[in-house]
Amino acid sequence: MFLLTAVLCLSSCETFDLDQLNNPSTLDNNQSDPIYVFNYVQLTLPDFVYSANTFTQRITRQMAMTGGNTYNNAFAPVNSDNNWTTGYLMLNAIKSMEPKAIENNYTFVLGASKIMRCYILMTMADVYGDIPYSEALQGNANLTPRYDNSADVYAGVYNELNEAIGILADADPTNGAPRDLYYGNDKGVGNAANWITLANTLKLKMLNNSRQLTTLGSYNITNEITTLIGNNDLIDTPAEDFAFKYGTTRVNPNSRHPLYNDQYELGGGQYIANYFMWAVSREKNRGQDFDPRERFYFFKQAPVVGSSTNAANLPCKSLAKPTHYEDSRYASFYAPATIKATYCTSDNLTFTNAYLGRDHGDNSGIPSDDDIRTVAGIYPIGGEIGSPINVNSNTNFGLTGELGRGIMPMILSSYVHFIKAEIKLTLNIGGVSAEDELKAGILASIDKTTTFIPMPSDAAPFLPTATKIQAYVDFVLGVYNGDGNTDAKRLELIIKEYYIAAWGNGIEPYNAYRRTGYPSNFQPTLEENAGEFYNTAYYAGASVNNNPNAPSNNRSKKVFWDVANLPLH
Amino acid sequence: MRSKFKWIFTLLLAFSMQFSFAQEKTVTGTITEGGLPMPTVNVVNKNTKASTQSDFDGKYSIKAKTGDVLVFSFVGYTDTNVTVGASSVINPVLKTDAQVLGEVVVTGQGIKKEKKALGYAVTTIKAEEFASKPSTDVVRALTGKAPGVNIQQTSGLSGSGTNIIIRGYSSITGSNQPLFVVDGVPFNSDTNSDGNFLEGATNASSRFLDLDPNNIESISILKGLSATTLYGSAGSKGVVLVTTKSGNTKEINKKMEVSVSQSLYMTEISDLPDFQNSYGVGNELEYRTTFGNWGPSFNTRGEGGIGFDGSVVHPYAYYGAGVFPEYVGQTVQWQAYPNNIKPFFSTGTVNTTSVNISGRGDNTSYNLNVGNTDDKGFIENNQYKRLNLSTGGSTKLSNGFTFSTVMNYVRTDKSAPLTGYGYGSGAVTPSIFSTILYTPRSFDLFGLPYEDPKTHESVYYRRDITNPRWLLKNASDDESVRRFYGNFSALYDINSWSNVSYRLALDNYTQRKKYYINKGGYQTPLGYLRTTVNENTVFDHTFSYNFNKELDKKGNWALDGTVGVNSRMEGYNYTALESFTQFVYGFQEHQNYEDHLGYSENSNFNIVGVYASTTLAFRKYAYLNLQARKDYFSSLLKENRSLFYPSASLSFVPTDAFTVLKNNKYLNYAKLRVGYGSSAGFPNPYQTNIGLFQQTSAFTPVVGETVNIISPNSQLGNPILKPELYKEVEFGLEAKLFNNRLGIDLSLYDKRSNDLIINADLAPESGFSAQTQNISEISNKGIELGLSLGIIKSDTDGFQWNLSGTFTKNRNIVESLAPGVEQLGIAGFTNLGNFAVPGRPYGVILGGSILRDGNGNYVVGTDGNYVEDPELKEIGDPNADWKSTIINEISYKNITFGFQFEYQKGGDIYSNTANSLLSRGVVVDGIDRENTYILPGVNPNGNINAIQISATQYGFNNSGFFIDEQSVYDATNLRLREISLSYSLPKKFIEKTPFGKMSISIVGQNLWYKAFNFPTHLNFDPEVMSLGVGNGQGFDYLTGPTSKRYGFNINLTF
Repeated sequence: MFLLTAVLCLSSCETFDLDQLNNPSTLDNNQSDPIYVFNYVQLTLPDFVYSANTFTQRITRQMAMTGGNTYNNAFAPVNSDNNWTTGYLMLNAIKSMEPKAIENNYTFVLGASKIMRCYILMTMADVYGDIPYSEALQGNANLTPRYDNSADVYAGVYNELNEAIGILADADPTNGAPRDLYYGNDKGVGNAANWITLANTLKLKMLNNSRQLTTLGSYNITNEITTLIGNNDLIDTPAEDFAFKYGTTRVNPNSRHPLYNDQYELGGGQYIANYFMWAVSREKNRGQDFDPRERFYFFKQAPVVGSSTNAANLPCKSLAKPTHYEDSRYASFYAPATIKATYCTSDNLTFTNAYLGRDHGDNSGIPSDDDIRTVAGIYPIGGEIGSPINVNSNTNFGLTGELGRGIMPMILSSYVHFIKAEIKLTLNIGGVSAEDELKAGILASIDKTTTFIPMPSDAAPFLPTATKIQAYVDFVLGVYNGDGNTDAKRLELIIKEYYIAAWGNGIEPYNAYRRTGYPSNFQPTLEENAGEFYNTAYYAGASVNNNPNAPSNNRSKKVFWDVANLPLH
Repeated sequence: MRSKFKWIFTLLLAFSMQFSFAQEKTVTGTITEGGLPMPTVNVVNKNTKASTQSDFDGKYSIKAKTGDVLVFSFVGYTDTNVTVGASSVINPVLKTDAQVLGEVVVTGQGIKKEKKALGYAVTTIKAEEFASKPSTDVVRALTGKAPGVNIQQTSGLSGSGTNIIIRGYSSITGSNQPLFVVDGVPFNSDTNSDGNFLEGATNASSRFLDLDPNNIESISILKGLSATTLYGSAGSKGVVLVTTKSGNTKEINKKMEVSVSQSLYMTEISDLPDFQNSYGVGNELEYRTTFGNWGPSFNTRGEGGIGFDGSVVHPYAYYGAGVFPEYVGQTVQWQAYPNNIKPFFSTGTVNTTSVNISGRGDNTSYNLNVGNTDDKGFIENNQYKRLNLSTGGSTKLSNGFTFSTVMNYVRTDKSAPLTGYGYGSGAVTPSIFSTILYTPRSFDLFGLPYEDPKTHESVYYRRDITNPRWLLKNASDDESVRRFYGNFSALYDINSWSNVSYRLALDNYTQRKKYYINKGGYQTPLGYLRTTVNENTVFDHTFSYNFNKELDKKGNWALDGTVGVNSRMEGYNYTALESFTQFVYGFQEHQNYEDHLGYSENSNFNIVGVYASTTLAFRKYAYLNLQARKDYFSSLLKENRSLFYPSASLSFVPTDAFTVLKNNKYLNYAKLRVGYGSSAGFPNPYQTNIGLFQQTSAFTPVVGETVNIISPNSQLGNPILKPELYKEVEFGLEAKLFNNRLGIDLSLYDKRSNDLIINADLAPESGFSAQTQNISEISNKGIELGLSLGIIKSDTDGFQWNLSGTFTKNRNIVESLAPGVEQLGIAGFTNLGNFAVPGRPYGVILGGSILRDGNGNYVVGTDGNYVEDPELKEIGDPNADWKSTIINEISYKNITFGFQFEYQKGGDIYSNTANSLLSRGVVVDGIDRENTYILPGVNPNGNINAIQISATQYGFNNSGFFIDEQSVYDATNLRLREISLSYSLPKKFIEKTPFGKMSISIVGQNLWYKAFNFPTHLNFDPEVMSLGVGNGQGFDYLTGPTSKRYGFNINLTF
């Protein structure tokens, strides 16, 4: 009996243990390591941009807006959840690693992370306007942070960029052996100088966004721009480009560009906007491949011709073109008399060089066009170039083209040239003429597009010759210097080229459109009355539903720098 | 036979101690009732207060002097007093207490009580209701039989999960499934699914499927909190107490009995829709390879893509000469194939054999049970096999110790096709039912190949659907369980009125799952294999002191009760391995795949409870029961980890209390009861401290090594998390009227759940996106009514007609969520799913709806179709208004005919079966396809809509495909749950055979149903749950139709 009792007690003792608070299957918080959190932040940043693109690329007609036929129903607060959540979780990760990083003197990790933090915050301020900043990221101490004015966020971020530059000034990128996935060498060893260049460039971008104001926080905008351009430590070479470089592995892990995953696996993927393909391939009215980037940007799975299209795979073909599409406001910037706003395909159903995307606000059902809709090409997603093949056919399952080895462009040297062109034209700051910056921007963009990865042999027929590039540049500069051209027209041309060069990034075109109102001939929604434009994106449902301090959601709220009161559509 | 098994118990119960007692005169005898010996009868010497109990043969022995009075008592029987005379042998015969009709029920912690002493509702269901039935799932067999208990299958597939909810949903994001207690042991009844509903979670079986219905003696359902307090937090959603034959050997009172039952049932899909055979695949009367059947009529010649000879291009010609050279350039006739879907379904067989041996020795009783079930479903590759081995026994030693033990081993193996979420244009993950029902009427599914003859890839009339026949052959979701559960208990009688007992219980199972699909399908073209192992362990110790004493000599006051300590450990251990990119077709081992991903996790928690319960009885007509328990939970901070919760109930039997009511012709029995109960709910473990997220191989750059990452978790720990508290008030009335012809059992309850734990979304700007919090409140109020009516009564052999019925109505309201939170998703998608909305019933369906103008008119857009409201709106309430069951039992001599009807009033369901069949135009729908239609509504300017749309647009766009609201139907339905005819052979026929009893039954289940508010030709049975077992309800995502079953069983006893 005693023995029995003893045995039973032994077996029951473990059932009386009442202190089991920690999950044995997860790492304890004190096991965190800033080096690996830095990896998380670097890897998640392109996801943040991609999720911002889901709104910004659609509202700026790079990708097709198909979620609704008017602005009222095209987006909902829930559509911002992913971007908003990704952004703040990254900011929280950066915050969480700082004490240990400071303790270990990981200054490179600290500085580079701070710059990424600034990029996230300025992007969120640009896209959403006022956002939680000063009270954010406090966990249980404050679950409902108040929203800060976007001007205050901008001013704070501007200061933080200066702090980051200070931290990086004497940073040792080998301390702790962090991997620098943006500017690292073959072994992943980071480059602090490039991060400093990025910080300066981001400052210039913020100043340019705010250029219609006089001050940014305590800084005089003109003076700051003058200094930055004078110091000339800005992104001006491909090596300095701020872009995430994807890999090629399909599973475990899937390291490919997310749009490649979407468009090259199954079912056709997201539609590219007809307007953007029109702007690249048609609007200048110079025939196919006049823009040397055309084949690199877009890939036709099959030739789209009149005989291969019908009501089943191209329903808009048999529907009447909305009459407001004939309005001259939406016609070509270069040849308004001959090239009207496109409808249904990128070439207005002429089937001369048809890319098949979708019109703005076409929310109709999905026809059986998986194998004919146009997908993104080799740039920037690492897709296909060359002869048509069905890339999302069941038998190709994501093994075509450059296997998703693309980039997520954030700030490229071409963007900086366009920004400098805009600054020169509007504020007259800088030594180089706006025309030369415009030209440099175009050349940098063409160069990036055609050399950003080792090009496959399929690309050889499309690699631009000097003559072709020259013809394109001459054409654009010819328009720029055209008779009786106004600065407004010149600015529109700069923004138009910036828009084309920004393919794969919707954030910069969205900022540019609200700042300048260009491109002014954006394809209108199929419904004539689209409703008010998105002056900012809806706040995320995740915030609005859970934070009583969230302001009410509407499309008229504006970023502080959006002061021009432009008619946007 | 007896000696054959005796050694087992000698082995098992090898603990004995001998005491000897001095004796003067020993009175002995055998206590019987109706000629059978009665074990465990209390024998008390009124004079000396000495007491004992009869053994398994009804024998007792007690010290007494001549003139002493011995009282023989047993619950449900009249006390028998005998004065000791000269003889030292007394053989009393006990009589049932006809007045009391003292039904004995099993209550909390296995305590048996007279039903009249209970201040709360308990429904007891006898073996006849679920043994030898077509349903091999014991819970499913109980559907409709207990008021207040809502049981719903997830689909008609063999081995699929079953949802059981008692008195409504009382937790928001926690589990609402009741606790199963088998022979006093908490029994894990989880539904362990590896995927979510998108992947077909409904396919996973619920672990109470491991119980063999044929080895169950009875099931008691404790519904209210005043009944379940002693079970602690685990019992807060109700308790299903299962007593197996092996676990109840004490009441065996035959030397030896062998019973054999054999049944054979057929299972079929409950019904198919009424397909139309006039129009084929296409759009706008044009032949196209669309999903839909809005193409030309089969009489069309020379237009709409149909040749003048009535031919169309061969559907496989597009594969080209590389795959099917024989079809290149070929045509097929434009015609309907009326039976192209039926052969996809087959008739399965359900074969069950059960052998039970029970008996008793001198002081020992035993039971052995072997059950074998082979359940083949209505579709190929759906099979559920189960082997149950069970043994139990108990022995009473003369020294006051009683030892008992039960051991069970279960082996189950299940296979099923993949049943992922189908959305009407295919499925996100492979899914067998997602497309089959809308196979074009013009496609000869069974006359054409389903695979590429060389590569084995799926072939179909369009590439973006996996051929359903291919999927059936090339994919499977298999599950196997090896389970051991049992208990060991020891009881020591301290004296005649008290004892101490200790029980150790163990429940341990390992569930292995294997999910695979060969390469060559559409969704996973490269193949996929996932295997998981889930080991689940429950260790449960209970030590208790129990007493039962009359407080005064007259027997007016009696007190019984129990005080105990219970400690329970629950743990699980999960590992998963996924493999991608199959190498050789058709071979399912991980080494045949190129890439692998592994995952594992462990979890463990303990709950220690101290409890007490006491009942004070006055003259056997008034009973006051007080209970309380305090629980300590291992995964909350010390200051919040315990909760004390009391309960009290009162039972009063006026028919015993007042002389005027005694022997009343009209009111034979009445009992009033009122109870208050409370209970605790604990969160999932590890919610106060959240660890880090880490991932290896998060990214592989083109140059350089693979990258590993660490980040804070998106979930935020909540240090102030505390248990949730449930409170319930219950009132009841039980009565027997008109010579016991009419029986009424009515309960009313009001249950409130406070500090409900939910996994709340956080504003991400806090740095985190979710946290477990105590913030919400739910109430459930309801009525449960059980009725029995003897319509025709006669002597035993004559014509009898008994009717019984249940009525259940539960009103559930989400009283509050976190401040400012207007809705919380519970199940489904974030834009179409079940939500908790303050002021609304739990789980209302929110989704897309048609935009209304200020006057409530539908708004029609410029294209002539409805405009969708951009806001998420409530489009349905899945909770039924009420449910009712009517069971008829008509018998004459040895023939019994029974049938059970069930009616559900209200309760909405979003049906993808409905919207896909209608929008694909495959069923008879009354739409004139040559005509045009104008949708009722107004255009955005407020004028009456006048835009004509084609029949295709009318049918395709307005069947719920685009606007969720149009897919929501009221699920009111009536069904013939069961119909049976049984015959037991008269005694005189079997007198000369070795059989003691022999009976045969023919049974049919779900043979007829009618969902009144669905389009008639769909023949749709809304009794499905595509979100699986859990808190989601009211969704049909084409994950599996219901089945009907019919066949016979034979029972033999010898």
